[in-house]
Amino acid sequence: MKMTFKVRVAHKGVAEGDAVVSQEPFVFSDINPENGTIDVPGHELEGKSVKGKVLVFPCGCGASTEDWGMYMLDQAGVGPKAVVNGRRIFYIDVTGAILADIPMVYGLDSNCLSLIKEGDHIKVDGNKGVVEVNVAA
Amino acid sequence: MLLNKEEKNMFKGGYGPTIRNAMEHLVEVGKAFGAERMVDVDCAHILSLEAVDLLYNLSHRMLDGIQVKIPTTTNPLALDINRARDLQIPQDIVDALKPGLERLTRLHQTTGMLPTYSCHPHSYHDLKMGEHVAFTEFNVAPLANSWFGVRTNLGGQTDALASAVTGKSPDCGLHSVENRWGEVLIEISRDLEPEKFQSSDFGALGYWAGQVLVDRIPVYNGLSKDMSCRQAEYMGVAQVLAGAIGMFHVVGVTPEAETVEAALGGKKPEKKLVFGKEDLAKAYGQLNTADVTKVDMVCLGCPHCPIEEVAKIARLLEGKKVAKGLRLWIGTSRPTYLLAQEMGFVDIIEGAGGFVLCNVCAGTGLLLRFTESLGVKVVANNGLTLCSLVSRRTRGKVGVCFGSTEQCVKAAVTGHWEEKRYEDDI
Repeated sequence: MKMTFKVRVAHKGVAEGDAVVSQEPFVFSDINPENGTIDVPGHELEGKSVKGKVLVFPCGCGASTEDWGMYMLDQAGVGPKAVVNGRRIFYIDVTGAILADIPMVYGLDSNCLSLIKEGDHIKVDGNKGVVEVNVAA
Repeated sequence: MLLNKEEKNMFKGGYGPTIRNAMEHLVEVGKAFGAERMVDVDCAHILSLEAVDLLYNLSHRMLDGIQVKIPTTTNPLALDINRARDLQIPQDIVDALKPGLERLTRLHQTTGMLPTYSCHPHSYHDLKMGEHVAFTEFNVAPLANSWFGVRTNLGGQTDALASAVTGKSPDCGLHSVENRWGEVLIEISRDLEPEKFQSSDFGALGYWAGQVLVDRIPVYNGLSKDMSCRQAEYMGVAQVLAGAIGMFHVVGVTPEAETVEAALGGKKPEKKLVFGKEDLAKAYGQLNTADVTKVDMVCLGCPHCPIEEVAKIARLLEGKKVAKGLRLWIGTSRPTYLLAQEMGFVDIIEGAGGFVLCNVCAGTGLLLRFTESLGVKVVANNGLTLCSLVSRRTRGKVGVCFGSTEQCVKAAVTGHWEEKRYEDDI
């Protein structure tokens, strides 16, 4: 099954990958900058890697160095390929996406966001403002 | 996006490549939020933590060959080399950090910034309600928006630097009045006594709100009219650590919330919630991550202590000694340090075995970097920055005890954390 969503664009670009989905506001410094794995004990995504994935979460939060966090993950080659957010975006994350130059889109309400599951294959078109979700079998 | 003549000229390179680069960034961010124009910002506040080349180069690129256009204050540095020996920071780490620190302070100097090295820019900028500023830092921006009624988004370093060199910021987010209105009404339950709330209670309240509201601006109704700037600071930073919330309103206290209706912009709240005793207890439970009561370190002043908090710590420590082997670090700004020195507070605290530090981030900056080399396993503190960041960034290796200033100072003296709460807090 395929779902298509119209989205707002925070940073342009086109990328695709499998989804990693966080239900909670997401903090980029929870990702280990050496290998792209979330290694905070008790984190809902503990042990999962964002490397080469499309990271889906309602919105960002955390310290004022989150943009640096995204940039450093990208420079180390272990960051996500794209970011998909809910209704609103965390200001600093936009700068992070610009620095890392990865497409970032938002504007999905919580119902749409909840339809995206881990492992779904997502195509983010940050030029057209479209997200295509191929639901995993 | 509609740019005026000066802004267009900046964008096209008429003021040189560095300004063009800054303007391109501001336009790009503005587009993400659908901004239609720029606003003039009167002052800026930036971070001072670029230790590694990768980050230094990012910042250097934003400032290459030019001076800041508006008064720009700087956040605390990662280490005060002159106090490193006192703090028993291993010499090899100091040697490794020194060139980077010198390079960074030189950059601030040559670009005309104010070397304030404090997370209290409101002590230096003459803030007027309704004016636009460009502040980064997760305790600074929410406090500026909520308590002082100035308008800023919580941007990152690149955003603040781009504004510092151009005097511009995209007109979006919290710069626009319609985005500043409260969206969810939070009533304080009658089973709580908000007039007795301590700083840490405000932190716990903000942390709860951040988790529940995620990205909505709260209007708190029923908090004490005597709420202080310091308490507002703890509440604001707590919200950001749990959700994407850049400001809050407190009815009858903060400047844009004379009444519930004013705080909500005349609209109906999306939701009404009640904050009760159980919510408060739950937040404390989440923030207290240490599984033992033996404390190795007490860190106060993250964000920087105002003079009344230094005075309080001194009063609580007078005639006592810090427990053997325990480290007590207190962070503050340089003017507050000098004042505290003149008033005898520094002598009392350092005579008891603690350290009063200025120009540096005693909390996240120092502690996060040195916990391992100093063998710290449990740290006690009264603010949320440490609770959330230390637990998470050390991947749970360092446990946190979170409570009032008084609880923290008691722990510094006894070496143990007591759950008992005190009412005599600021």
